[in-house]
Amino acid sequence: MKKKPDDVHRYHILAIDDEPDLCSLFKDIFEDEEHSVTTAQDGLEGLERYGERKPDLIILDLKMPRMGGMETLRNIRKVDKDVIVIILTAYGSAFTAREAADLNVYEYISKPFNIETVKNVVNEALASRRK
Amino acid sequence: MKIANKIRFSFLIVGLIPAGAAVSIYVVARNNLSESIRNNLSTAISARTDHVETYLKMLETSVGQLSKSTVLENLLKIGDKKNPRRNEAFDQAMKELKRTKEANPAIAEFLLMYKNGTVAASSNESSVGSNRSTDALFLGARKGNCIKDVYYSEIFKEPLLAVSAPLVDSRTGEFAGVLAARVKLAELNSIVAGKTGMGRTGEFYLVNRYGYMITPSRFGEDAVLKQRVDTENTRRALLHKGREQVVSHERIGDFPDYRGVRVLGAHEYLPRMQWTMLAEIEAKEAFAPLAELRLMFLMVVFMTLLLAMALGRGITGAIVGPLHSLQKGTEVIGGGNLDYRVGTDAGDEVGQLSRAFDQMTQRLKKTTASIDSLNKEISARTRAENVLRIKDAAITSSISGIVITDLDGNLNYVNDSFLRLWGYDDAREVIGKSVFMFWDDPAPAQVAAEAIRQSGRWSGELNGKKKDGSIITVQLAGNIIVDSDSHAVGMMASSFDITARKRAEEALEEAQHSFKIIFDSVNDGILIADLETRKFYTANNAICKMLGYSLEEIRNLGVMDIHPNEDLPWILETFERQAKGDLTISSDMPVKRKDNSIFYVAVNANLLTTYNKRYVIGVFRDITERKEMEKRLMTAERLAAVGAFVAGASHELNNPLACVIGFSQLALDNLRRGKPGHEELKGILEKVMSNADRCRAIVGSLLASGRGYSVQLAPVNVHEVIDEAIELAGRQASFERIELKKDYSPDVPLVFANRVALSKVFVNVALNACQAMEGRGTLKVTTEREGNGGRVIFKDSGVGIKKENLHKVFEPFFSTKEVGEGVGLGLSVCAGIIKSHCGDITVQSDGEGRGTTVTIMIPIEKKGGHEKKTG
Repeated sequence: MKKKPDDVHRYHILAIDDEPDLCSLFKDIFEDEEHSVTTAQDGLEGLERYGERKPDLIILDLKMPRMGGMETLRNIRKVDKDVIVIILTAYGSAFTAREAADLNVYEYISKPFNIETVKNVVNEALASRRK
Repeated sequence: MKIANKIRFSFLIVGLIPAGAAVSIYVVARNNLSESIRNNLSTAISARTDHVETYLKMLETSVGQLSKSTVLENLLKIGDKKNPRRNEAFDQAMKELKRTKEANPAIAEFLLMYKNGTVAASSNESSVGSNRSTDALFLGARKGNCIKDVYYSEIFKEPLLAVSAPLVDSRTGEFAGVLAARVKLAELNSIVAGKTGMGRTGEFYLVNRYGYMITPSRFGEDAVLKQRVDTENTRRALLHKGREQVVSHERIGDFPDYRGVRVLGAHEYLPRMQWTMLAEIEAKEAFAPLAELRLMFLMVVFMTLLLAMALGRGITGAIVGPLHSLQKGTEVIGGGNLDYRVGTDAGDEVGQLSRAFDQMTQRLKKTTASIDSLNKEISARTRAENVLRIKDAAITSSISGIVITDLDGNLNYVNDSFLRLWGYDDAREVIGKSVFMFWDDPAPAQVAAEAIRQSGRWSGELNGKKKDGSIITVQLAGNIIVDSDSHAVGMMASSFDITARKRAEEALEEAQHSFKIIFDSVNDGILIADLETRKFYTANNAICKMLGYSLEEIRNLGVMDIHPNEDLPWILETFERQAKGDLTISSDMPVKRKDNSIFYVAVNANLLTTYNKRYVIGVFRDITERKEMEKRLMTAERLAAVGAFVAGASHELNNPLACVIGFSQLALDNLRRGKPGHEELKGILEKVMSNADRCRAIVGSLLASGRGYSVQLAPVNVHEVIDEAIELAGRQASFERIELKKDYSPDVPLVFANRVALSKVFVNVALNACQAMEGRGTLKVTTEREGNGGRVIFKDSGVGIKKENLHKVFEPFFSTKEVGEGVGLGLSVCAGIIKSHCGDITVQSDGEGRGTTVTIMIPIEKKGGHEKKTG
């Protein structure tokens, strides 16, 4: 932890995925990047976490029990038009570009993914926010 | 009363007159005879009684005379002192007595007694010296003559009678002694018991005052003084004792005698001796003449009546016989048989009557016959008149228009229908006019009239012109009218408006034509088959083309000829059900063309009934193409299912694969930076390992399900398969927050199934339930025995299914899930699997938000009817 305490959590990231191992992977990666990371196992829990602390960026899996990714996103967009959302999807064909445009999705990443790809996308998105 | 009875009765009456006379004669004769018998008896007894009295008097007299004998007086005067005088006197007396006794054989003994009762002398020397002073013959005689009643003498050993008289001293007149004579009863007996005039059973006898017989009985030995007689006769005798003037018939009676035998008896009382004289004769003998008389009388009466009846009968027969035949004859003839003859040949009045009767019948018959023929003629005429009247009425009321004209065609008569037909109101409008004015074109009408005149008749259709000018089509039939000499005198015609019928016929023809065009232009094949014979009645073009037969060929075929033989049993069964109206549509029916190639049709059947014949109309739609489509769709569906399955599987793999890749990169990254410690690296690698393991497990299960239908059917425990399936499902979705309730029935049998396929179905249903509950809720799995198999019910508490979507759940590609959430197999494939097990799968939902129930039925064995050929 070389950074100053106020720099430690430069951005807050919310990762919502029903796969606990993936959540913990995101936590490892982005905490290493000195962001703070909150995780949730499904859409409902994700909305709960969102309510507790508004994130700068949301990594959202599409296929989840209780509440899927699309529904979660629609709910978030009702209250927050600006938060950056990156979608994780198992196969790209099922998710249309039109929907992505409508819901203002920053980018979508197919599983399985390369960590570097995720890191780049997230950092790029956060950088654009900084501007 | 019948005549015969009257005659018989009269004869009976006549016969009764001599019978009545005989009766009165009999009564008189009987009374006289009876009287004479009684008189005889009465006379006889009086005579004998007198005789007895006379006899007794004679005895008295004899003894009295002897007592006057001086010899005896001397002896008594001397007394019994012993002296020679006495001896002499004694000798003399003894001599006297003995001599007298000798002279009279009826005397048993003479006794001469002193006044003290000592026997002075006797005809019997042994009696001398004995004392008789207490003897009745001594005591009774002291004051006069006396007769001692009959007694039994011990000395003589026989019954005797004693007569005694006193001896008086001739000088002093003093009582000197008694002379007694013992008398034998022989004489008395001969007087009393003489049988003269008494027949075989008559007897006379005497009874003493003590009621004992003193003369012998005719019927018993040794009756004297021993036979007691206490009979009606003796009692009456005692009753009449002393009554001198008793009427003679009172002394005669009819009563039992001492023997108990019924007798006719009379009595007479002898007061001096207190005897009773009885005369008795057995009634049978006494009244024998009476009995004879009665017999004779009865015979006379009987014979008389018999004769009367026989005569009556004979005469009745002679008179009544012919009468009977006559009576019978009248009855027969009265009944209508005039041919009957009484025909008696009796010569009497009845015979004459019957012959006269027969003649009368003959004449009556002739008369009747002529009346009959008259009646027949009358009724024939009446009938003829009736026929004419009816014909007249028929013409008048006929719905055909009838017209009668002269030979030139001028109207003489028209009926109401004719007027109506041509639109006239009154016959006067048309009578006398020419028949040719009623036609649109008179020319053909004239041709018709000429034909009638020439050949006698014509019929055909003509266009008539009505009063108002409108045209009608008329069916006309005309005839020539001839008189009785066969000369033509006129014409007649009947006409009928067939305009409407013509139009209807045209319309029908048109309709038939249109129908035929429609029938033949329909693309579906139509076959009409007789229900009974199953032969085809007709067919349209389309079916001819489908089958490759001409219409004529089809009409010679039947239901049996246009289907493959192996399918005939169920097709005929289907036909029967169609015939009953149970079934209207049947699909997938194989049909054989003329060239024996097979195609498939869906048949829509209906019943048609005409003129009591019943037909089945089958509308055949060739579904070969549709079946090809379905086949192609099935292939496409399978491909799509495989695609979806692969997609789902890859999705399942992507998560753990992402983890593997991610953590591996993280580890490499850390190593590159030389940053993490040993422990940290170990944790990352463990995660890599565990996710790699998950990948392997998923691939394993994919391989298992990928084996698919290659696995043979085998007995399967449904419960094991369900458990396995839920575990498999648990790997694909999270069941952690789902409460699983199992209610397995031990009765569920092993079912013959493909274990892997069945497992796929359960996995699918379980996953669907899990999704419907969004990972949270209750899933209840129930099993139960269902007839010949098992039933599995999955009931979840999830969102349920909208009603409008319920019927679509088995359609391929149907999903309400988010795009991209498809999980391998669809319910349509589940249904396919279950159907291939001859089972059933149904989905129910009470609506959105109320959960879903999936019910799966699996039979123990694949069973079922025909294997239909499905593409």
